[in-house]
Amino acid sequence: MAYSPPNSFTGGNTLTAAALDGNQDALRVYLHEGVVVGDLQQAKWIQTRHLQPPTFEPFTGTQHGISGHQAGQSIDGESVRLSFCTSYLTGNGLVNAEPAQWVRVPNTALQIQARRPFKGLFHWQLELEHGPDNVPFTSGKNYAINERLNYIAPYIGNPSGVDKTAAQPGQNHPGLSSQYWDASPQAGALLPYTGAAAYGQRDGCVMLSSAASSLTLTAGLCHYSQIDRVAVVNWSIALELYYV
Amino acid sequence: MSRITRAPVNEGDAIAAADLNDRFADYTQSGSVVAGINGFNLRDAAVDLPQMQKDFLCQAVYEATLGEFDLDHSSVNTVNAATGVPSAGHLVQDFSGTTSVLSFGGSGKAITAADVLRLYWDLSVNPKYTGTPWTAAASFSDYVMDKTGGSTAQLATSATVWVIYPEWDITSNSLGNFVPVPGQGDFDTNYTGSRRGEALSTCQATCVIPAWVQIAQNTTGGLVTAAGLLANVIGWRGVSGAWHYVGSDGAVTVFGIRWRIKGVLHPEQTSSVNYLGFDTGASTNVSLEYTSGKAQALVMRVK
Repeated sequence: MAYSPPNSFTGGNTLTAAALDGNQDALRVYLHEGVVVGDLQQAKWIQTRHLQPPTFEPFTGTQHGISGHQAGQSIDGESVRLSFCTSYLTGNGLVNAEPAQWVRVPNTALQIQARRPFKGLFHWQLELEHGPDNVPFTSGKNYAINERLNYIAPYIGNPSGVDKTAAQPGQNHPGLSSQYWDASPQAGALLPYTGAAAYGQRDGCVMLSSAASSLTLTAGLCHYSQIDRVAVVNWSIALELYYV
Repeated sequence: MSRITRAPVNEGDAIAAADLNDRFADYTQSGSVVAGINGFNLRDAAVDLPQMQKDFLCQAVYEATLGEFDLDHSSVNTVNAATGVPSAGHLVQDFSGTTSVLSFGGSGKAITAADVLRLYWDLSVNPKYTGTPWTAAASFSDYVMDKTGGSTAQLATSATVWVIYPEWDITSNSLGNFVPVPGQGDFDTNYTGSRRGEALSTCQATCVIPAWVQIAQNTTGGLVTAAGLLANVIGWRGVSGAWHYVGSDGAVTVFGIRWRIKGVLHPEQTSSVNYLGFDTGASTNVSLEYTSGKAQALVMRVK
């Protein structure tokens, strides 16, 4: 119910400070903590201007507002930040080097400070060129040339927490009709590289959820590679996190 | 938020008009002590974290693993290309044959007119073939090119694909009534002759996977050579898809979503409508292997 003054004044009667203060105090209490539902707009009325403006950190690409976080990083702009994956960091292509050898893809991570329990998604996208890697095959030592893979997977916290079920593979260039290199002159891949398995985009999502009242959240991409080098020629990551 | 503070009136104090007015002015937008009742305090900053309702923007988020993971692909699921239509296709499942379902819980999740359902998925796949399936007589997945020497050669269009699309159950948690999601057909539409597929307008939740690729090199005067036809497998790769449903199109309660694979299909135009239709003629020794992927759904309030 609406504010109702506890005291009413009558003309000619003595005006006491207590009565006046009583009314004022009741009003103050009402305004600060006692406004009841019936006195407020019942329809959904919250619009953008009603929300506290978020803080934005341009360098880290993170934005924090009343409802949660939005964050994004990409390769764009003048400061091109090509990235890479390589078997030299993930067991040197040795057979069975996995599961321990998952390492970060340079640059591709975000870290935010969540201040309430949250739900959300982490989105990622990479454009990769796998190999060609024609390091000779040695049984038991490395994988056959045509079977060498590079896996990309999102992680939360650090790569040891990688969710491998979300991993997406890319394959070493097996060569159109098994032709790999232009030998004369030695100018790289012999045939159109984009016409085969080795070049392409990978993208995916991972769910974010926490019941903690406060949490430092790191989300990024890691890789496990059996290919000597994989160029990441484009990448972007984004995070949407909603307080619950 | 600012807080109004003013010393109380004491017994014996004189009643001064200015003081009395100030006390009431405290509750106006131009109060003498603080601008207590103004746009900043009661509108712009009226809502802060403590006042936000639970699940205000993001009402729910769900995630499921599709298929089953195997790093070296010693175990895979295999889907063979359809040899006839209609084709039931293949439900994405683990290695034990259990269909992968993105569950929305026993009570499901209501999508009201104020909500939007966002859906994402990905899957690790490996399209395979042997020989040159596109050269089969019944196939239409090829170009016929003039060849040096006067004859012709069949070159793959490289547009032959597998498709993955989601089906939802909006009837009960028994999950026995899956149907393609709105905007998506089941590729069993008989659009001409014996051809079945879907118009592009009903492929709104379709993720396509290339089945193979072939190029012609060393052409001479526009003529291809037999030695210049070079084909390649697609290889293992991750594929992904996304779809959304706006609750204002009709309130529903979603209980689960699963994914179906069909193939192989090829673009075709009939009566000025573009279709993706089954090319059952190119099905011999054609298959799709897959392992695992993820699916996420997020229900957002948009009004």
